[in-house]
Amino acid sequence: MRTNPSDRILSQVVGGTLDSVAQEMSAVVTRTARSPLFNEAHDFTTGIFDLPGSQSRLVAQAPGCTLHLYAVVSAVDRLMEAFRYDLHPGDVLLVNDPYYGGSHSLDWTIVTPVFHGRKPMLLPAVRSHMGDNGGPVAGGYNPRSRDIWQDGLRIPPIKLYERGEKRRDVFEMILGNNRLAHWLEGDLDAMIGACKVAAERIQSLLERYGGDAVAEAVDSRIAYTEKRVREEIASWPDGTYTAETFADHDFQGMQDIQVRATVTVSGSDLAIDFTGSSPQVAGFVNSPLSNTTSFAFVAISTCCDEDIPINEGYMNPVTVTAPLGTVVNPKPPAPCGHATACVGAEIAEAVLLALSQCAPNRVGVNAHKLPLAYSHGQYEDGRPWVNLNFYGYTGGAGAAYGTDGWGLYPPVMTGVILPSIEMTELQYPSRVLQHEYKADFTGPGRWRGAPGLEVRIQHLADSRTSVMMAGVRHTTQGFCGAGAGPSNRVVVDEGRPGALEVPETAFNVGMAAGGVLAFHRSGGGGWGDPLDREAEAVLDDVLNGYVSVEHAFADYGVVIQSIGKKPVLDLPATIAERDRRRSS
Amino acid sequence: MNAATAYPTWMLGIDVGGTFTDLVALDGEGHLTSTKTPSTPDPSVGVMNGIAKLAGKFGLSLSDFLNRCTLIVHGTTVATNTLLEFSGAKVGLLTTEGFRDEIEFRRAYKESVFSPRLPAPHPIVPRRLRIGVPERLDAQGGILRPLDEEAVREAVRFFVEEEVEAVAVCFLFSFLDPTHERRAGEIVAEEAPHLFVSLSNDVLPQIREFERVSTTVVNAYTGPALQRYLERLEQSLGEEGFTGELYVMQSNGGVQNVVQSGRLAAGCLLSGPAGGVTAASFIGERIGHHNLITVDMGGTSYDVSVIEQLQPTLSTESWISRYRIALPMLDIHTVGAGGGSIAWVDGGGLLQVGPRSAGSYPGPACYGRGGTEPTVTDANLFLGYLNPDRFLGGEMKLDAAAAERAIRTHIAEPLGISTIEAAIAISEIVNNNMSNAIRFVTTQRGYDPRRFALLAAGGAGAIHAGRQAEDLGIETVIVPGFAPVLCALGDVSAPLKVTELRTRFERAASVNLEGINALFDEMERSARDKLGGGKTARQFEARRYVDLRYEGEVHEVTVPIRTRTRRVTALNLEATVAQFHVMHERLYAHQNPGQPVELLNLRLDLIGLRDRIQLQESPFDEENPEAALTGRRPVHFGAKAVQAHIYNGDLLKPGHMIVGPAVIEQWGTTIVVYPGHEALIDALGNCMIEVRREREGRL
Repeated sequence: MRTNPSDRILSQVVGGTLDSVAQEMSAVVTRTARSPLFNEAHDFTTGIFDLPGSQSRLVAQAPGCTLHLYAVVSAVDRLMEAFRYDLHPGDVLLVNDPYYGGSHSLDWTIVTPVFHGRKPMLLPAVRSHMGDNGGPVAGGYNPRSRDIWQDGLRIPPIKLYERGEKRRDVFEMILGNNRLAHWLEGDLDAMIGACKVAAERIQSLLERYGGDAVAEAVDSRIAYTEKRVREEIASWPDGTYTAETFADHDFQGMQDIQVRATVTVSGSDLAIDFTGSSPQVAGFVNSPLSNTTSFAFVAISTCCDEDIPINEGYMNPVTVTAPLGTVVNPKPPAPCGHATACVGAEIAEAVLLALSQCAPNRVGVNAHKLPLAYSHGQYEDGRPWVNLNFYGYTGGAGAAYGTDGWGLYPPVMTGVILPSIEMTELQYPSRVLQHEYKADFTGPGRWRGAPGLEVRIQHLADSRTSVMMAGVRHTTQGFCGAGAGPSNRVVVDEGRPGALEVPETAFNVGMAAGGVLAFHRSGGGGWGDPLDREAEAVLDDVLNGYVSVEHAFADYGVVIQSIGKKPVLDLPATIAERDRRRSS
Repeated sequence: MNAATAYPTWMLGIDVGGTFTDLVALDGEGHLTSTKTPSTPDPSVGVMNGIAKLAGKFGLSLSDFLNRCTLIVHGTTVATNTLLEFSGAKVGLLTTEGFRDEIEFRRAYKESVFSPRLPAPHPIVPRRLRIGVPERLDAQGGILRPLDEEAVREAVRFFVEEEVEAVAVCFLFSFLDPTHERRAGEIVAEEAPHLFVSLSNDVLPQIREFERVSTTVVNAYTGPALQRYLERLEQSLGEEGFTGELYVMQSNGGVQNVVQSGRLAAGCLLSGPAGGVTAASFIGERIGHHNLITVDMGGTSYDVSVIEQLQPTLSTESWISRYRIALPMLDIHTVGAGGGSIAWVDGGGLLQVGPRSAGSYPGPACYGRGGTEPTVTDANLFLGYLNPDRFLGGEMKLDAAAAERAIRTHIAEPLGISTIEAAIAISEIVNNNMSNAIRFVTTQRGYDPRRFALLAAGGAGAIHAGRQAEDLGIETVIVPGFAPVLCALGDVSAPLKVTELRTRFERAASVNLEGINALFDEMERSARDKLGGGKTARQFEARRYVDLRYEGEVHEVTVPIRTRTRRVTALNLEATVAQFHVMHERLYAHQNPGQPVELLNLRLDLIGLRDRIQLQESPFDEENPEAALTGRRPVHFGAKAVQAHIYNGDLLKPGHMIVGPAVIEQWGTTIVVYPGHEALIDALGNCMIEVRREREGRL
């Protein structure tokens, strides 16, 4: 009865269905995982890949933590390389080794093959940030790491299930190497469950439309995305644009680590060359190539229209060059445990700064220089807890053309959801004392960054905390004439005699029960000259306590008088002041 | 209330929509009478007009009629529109000191994970009106810091200076001990008795501060408008002699009295659409379909929900106007696939349908009101599903040439295909969007759509429903006979139900049963207060539920507790936990009975049992529907057009049997019977379509 819809229409039908399968996977993980990194923070990504030849391709995904995206692509590739001649229905594969396509070993990738006939055709995959990864430090961030083994457990491509049979021995090996084994098994079940649900849906799709039609549909969907991205790139003026930015240090004494991006727009092609970036470093901030590509990819995707389906077609117009042996493409066994924050943030920032020279109105300020602090201790019954102190560093959304930064994270990190404070206090021996915006603590601009934060977290039991500072000397940059953000600050054991303001790094600092961690977390960078910000918008910021009267004048040249208790804009004085500054 | 008396009494269902106010009157013998009247800027005027119109149908004056009305259940979009249009009250917010920005943080959630250009949500409580006051409870409900009453007083004075109209109060852990919030509320009342007060432990006494504060603020924002409206309505009804009970339809499919509804406007945000879902459940019970997927296709959107075992499914995950509402609401999933949804070719040369809509003005190109872009309605007209001369019973003529022109110039020519191919493509895409919307509420929630019947409402829902049924392997499509006043029917038949919820965190293995039973008792008392008077309901039934999860999980599964008495016993709880493992497996593909289970919330539904509503049924007429046949016309069910029979739905009688391909045209609704499908008009006037099984249905 029903005519065969044209290929394009079928591509939309199949593509839309695969998207909804990826979303369903995401729903399964969120609802069933145990560790708050999954179920509260959504620090994971689900995707579906195909395997037309030897290379897998991203076909559909559900937005979770965006910066997993490309890392999962290369992890799936490495898994397929490893098991190409040994894949069977019912297999479940796992990898976490950053040198087998990935970012840092805390992020694990699970894949199951879905067969059409005798050929593995589509591959649902989940990549997630695990609560712990064995190794020297609970929670996995080891600022003293000198090699990949000190980052944590290194899992090359392995099988968790073989032809539907759970490999109990392998599970026990993994659980035995994890502090949060009581969560880990549930988390793995959630990831595997999501892949199984997806496999059922995909099997139905293949039976319904046939393998050839699905393959064609996938091809045409990827081609469509590529076409849209090429159109965006082609709208940017041809040329070569260079920017450089710096990470403060590598936690091992090396300072001012440079990331340099040279972006060449040539028609609808985009070449990103990181030549000129610092050689790889001793500390754990080295970014494996797939992590570098992932951050470049996220940077580009934030410059394109949001309705473009995210798949392999996004990367086809883009080439990434990163010389081996540099901080953006290290040789093993360089440690890389922190790469998803530092120097990942700098990679995205450098690419966006370069792009801001050719596509200023498309570029948002999108770096996330996180002052990380992880605490751990023991419950009364002796079980370990790891608290990631999320509230302290979740923030820093930058501005874009036409929009102030708002909320907490910039898009590069969104998808990550902050745990509920009340739930955290029920689950951990911790108490949040303060969690609010802090005035004058963001990058000013014609559009300003989201305000910075002031956060205090108290640990009610004895605890140890490691702090990894970033964005202290090299703060979040403003774009297109805007100001940079202020310096992040973290104080351990605030208000007590041993209080420590962390300059670069603190390792396993003990705090007696009741100790407080204080965070002053910079807001986002601004976009455009602050003198161009509408004076009324600055008054509004003053009324809302985002900007003080003093900073309204210092940063924006806006004069605000107090009449009674009410701040009132002095427009003539503001115009005069702004004219004076522009001409000087 | 006795059917034998000469003067019947009535129960009324009243649904106020954007264009029409729909009313249904039900008498004790199960006779339904309905009417429609244009909605008015002050909706209570339209309601009174509609009641007068109904009274006229019975030859009674307005007051004589209202005198005989025992119950009115009202679905209203006043709260919804207040939030959608951002026309709510000026709100001041009091929080625990140090936490006034949670509503702006939104737990870092953003609607777009890639775009830095997405602007912030409209601030319904800007920061200058958010004040933190010293006070703090710990995670066990103990007082760490007493409430600074002077600080509250000072804040309220500031709010008064700022001409705030409503105050929301949300302190951390107030669901464990509401004393501080209550005291703050008292101080607001002392300082400024005219202010509307919204306390988080009244609105949503449940863990998770962002969800609670957002819901509480929305309640403060929408409450004054709803309260004023309901007061006006109650007054108008009272002046005309109404002495019965007046209830407002709630987002969860229950009802509350007027006073409670005004206080808890956040619970009325789906008051309108809830009527439709409730009606579906009501009809499903009468025709023996207890598992239903309901779809409602309007001008701009396509709403989907699921009813399992006659119980509409609920969600606590809703966002409306970019604000989080964590109250349990009917799980109505909305996508931009309405009749007015615009088809367009995007920058990559791909055909898209929606989410942009032409609405009713200018509307689809074929409306002839100046719209030039092709819409789903234009495609439906061009493919022969719609009759240009019989739209809205012929009250409105459709311009077929305009539809053709719009599809040709905007779709066919840019894509280099024929106009008919373009119209078919629009139809394919919107049908697939609809099927995916149904997958979203079924397969993604662990339901198999093949076990459900599809109930289609809205003017065009039944044009497409046959396709979704084929796509998803659904065997039966139901187009209710009361489709044009479906929501009002749902209102009048709604169960008198109030839901209570309390957070209580315990390990399931070591639960304090006495404490739980005491809390359930307190919840039942509170529910009884909210249901009020109790004239219509003579008996009450309490249904108890617990939210359970594996330790460490953050999302809970609501599991019913089956008890034989008012007390929950250890054995009851054991059975409930066993049930939880099974539900977990169904929803998430795995269970782990060895893992400790946590209890997070208690829920209680109090249901006022009503007399069973018995609808009048008509005897079956002959099978042959020839009397209603108005002709034939070519209709496209693919590349080739087929001659389809066309019926006047208003002339169809119970017992009539129609074999597709056919189109049934009735006022406000068009039903397409696809080739191979068979439609039967049942004794209640519903159109029951059996779907041909081309192949095994697939998810």
